[in-house]
Amino acid sequence: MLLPESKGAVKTAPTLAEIRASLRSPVLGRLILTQFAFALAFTSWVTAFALFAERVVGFGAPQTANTFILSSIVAIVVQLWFIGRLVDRFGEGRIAIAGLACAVCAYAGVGFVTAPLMLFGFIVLWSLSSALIRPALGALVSEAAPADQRGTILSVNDSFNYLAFLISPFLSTTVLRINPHLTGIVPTLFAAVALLLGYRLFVAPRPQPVVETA
Amino acid sequence: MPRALLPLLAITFVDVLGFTILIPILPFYAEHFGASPTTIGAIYATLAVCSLLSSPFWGRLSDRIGRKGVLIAAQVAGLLGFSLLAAGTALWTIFVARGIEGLGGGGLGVTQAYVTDVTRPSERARAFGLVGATFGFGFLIGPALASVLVRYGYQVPFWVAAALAG
Repeated sequence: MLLPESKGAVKTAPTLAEIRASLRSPVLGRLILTQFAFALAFTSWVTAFALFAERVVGFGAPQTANTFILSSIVAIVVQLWFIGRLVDRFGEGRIAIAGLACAVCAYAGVGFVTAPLMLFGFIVLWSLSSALIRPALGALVSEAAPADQRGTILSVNDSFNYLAFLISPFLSTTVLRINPHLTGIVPTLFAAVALLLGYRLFVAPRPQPVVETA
Repeated sequence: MPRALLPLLAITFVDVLGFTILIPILPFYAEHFGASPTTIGAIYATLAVCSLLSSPFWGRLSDRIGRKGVLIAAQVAGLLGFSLLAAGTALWTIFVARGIEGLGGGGLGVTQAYVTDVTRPSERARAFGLVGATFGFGFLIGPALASVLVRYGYQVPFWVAAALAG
């Protein structure tokens, strides 16, 4: 099973100015910002989760591991069997919006958790949201990127994920130290920003060009 | 689904498996060399910072020379990084090993570019879903495998991760 080449070598690659122009284009720029806001929400939750679960519902390492296993199973099931059908029916934009709305609800809800069963409910919702958002946004970014710049643009997009991993743990653990029940605030805010950006991209009516009449 | 995706999914699975085998062990391995919790955090940050800086370079290179070479370079970096982790005798070797892994790989961006190259727009979300599910499988199996391998010594999971990358 050998990996075939997917793209031939080119003599002239796009210039940095061309790449910068693509990244500044309204659709691609906003898509990457949406993805970045989502990544900030995701990483601030994941990196604070073990401490949050320990302090709020008394989870130890085995229970935390089991929670992540549950989350992985939900994500696998959704991404293997459902995402294709859902995107065929509703389109990537609407699926991304639905996923982001689920994410806001899941992150906002964890503040009210008092028992493990409630936490599991929100974890299932959170896993579902991530499983919807990632493939949908990934497909949208890849379609918006010019064919000769895909590698660069998708890698820049990937870099924002690493940036999120560097920024968000400090924010979420700071809030956690103040009050564990407020841990969900940081990811909720980031997910809400992502939802707002996504809404403006995929749902809100775009202003029509003004037609001048004599 | 295009057949070209199968080897890519296999590579992704092995990559994620190599990464997730390390997750539960790396902090204890670093403590063995005298690392404090802050230092352990810095070890994780090393990979993220190096990947953050190198990812656009590899993506741009993949636009010029093709994706395959860049994906192979990532495997070589994984092989070197994991081998150095296993053979390491001091804390600094862990930092260097994580740095090599971070600097040497094209990461998810090049994988997504490959997927985009070999799929039609109508298939892409499904294909990205498959990549995501592959990540999920890796995250399920890797830590469990680590817990079995670590019984034979801290270095064993790292050698296995190196072998998987190779």
